[in-house]
Amino acid sequence: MTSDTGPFLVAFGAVGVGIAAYLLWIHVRLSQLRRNLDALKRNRGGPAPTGPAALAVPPVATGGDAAASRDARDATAKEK
Amino acid sequence: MDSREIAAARSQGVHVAQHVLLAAAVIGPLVLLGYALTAPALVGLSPHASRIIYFHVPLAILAYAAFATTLVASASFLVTAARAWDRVAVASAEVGVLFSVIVIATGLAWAQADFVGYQPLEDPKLVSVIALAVVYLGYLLLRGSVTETERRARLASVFGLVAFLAVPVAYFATDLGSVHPLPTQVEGVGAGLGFGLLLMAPLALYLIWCRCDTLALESEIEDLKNRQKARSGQAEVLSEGLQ
Repeated sequence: MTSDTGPFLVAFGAVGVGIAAYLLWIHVRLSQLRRNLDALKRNRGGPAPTGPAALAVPPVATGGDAAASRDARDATAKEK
Repeated sequence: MDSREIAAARSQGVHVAQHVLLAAAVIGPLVLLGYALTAPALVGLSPHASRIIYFHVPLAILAYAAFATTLVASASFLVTAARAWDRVAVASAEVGVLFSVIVIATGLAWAQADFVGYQPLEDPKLVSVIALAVVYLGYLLLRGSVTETERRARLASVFGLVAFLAVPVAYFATDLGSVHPLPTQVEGVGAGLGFGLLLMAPLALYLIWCRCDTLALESEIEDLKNRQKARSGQAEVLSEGLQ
C-alpha cells in the first residue's frame, strides 16, 4: 500500500455508500410493502395504512370495557 | 410431506440462499479492495489506475450483462406475457444504470491520473457509455410515465429490445480513436479482472433479486386492490338491484 491511496479509498467509500443507500432503500421498501400486503390480506376495508400507521395495533377492550361491550352485544342479539 | 410443507421448505431455502448471497455481496467488494490495494502496479499504468482497473472493468462487464438480461427478459415478456419477465427486465436495467454511473466515474478518475490533457467530451468511449446510461435511464422514465400495467410492460419491453443497440456501440467505441485501452493491452491483468468479476457478481445478483422481490410485492398489492375494488363495485350493483 502506498501513501497515495487516500483518494482511492475516498472514492471507494463514496461508491460504497451509494450502493449501500440503494440497498437500504430496497429493504425499507420491501418491509413497507410486506406490511401493506398483510394489511390488505386481513381485508380491513379502505386503503391500507402506510408508514408508522401500518404498525399500529388496534386497542383491545379489557376488564370492565370488555364486559360492557359483551353485555351490549348480548342485548342486541336478544332484541333481534 | 404435503404441498404446504414443500412450499414452506422452498421458501426457507430461498431465504437462506438470499442471505448467503447478501454475505457474498458485502464481503466480495471488500476482499477486492484489499486485493487492489496490495497487488503490484500494472505495467504501463499508474498505481492509481492499477487499483481502479480491478473495479472499473468488472463493473463495466456486469453493467453490460445487466443490460443483456433486460434484453432477454423483455423478449421473453413479449413472447410469454409473464409479468415475472417484466420485473427481471426493470430490475436489471436499474442495476445496469447504477453500475454504468460508477463505471463512468471510475473511468474519469483513471483518465485524470493517466492521460495528460484528457478531453472527456472528445473521447468516443466515454460519450458512448454516457449515452448508454441515458438510454436506460429513458427506459426507466418511460416506465414511470405509463400507469396502465399491461401497456407499460409491453412498451418498456419493446424499448428494452431497441435500447440494447447502445451496448455494442459502447463496447466497440474503444476502436473509434479512444484513449481507452483494451483489457488485452494491459499486461498481467487477466487473472485480477476475473477475480474482480467473481467478487462483484454477487452484488449485482443480490440487487437484482431484491428489486424483483419489491416489484413482485408491488404488483401483488396492485392486484389485490383491484380485486377488492371490483368486489365492492359488484356489491354496490347488487344492492342497487335489490332496492
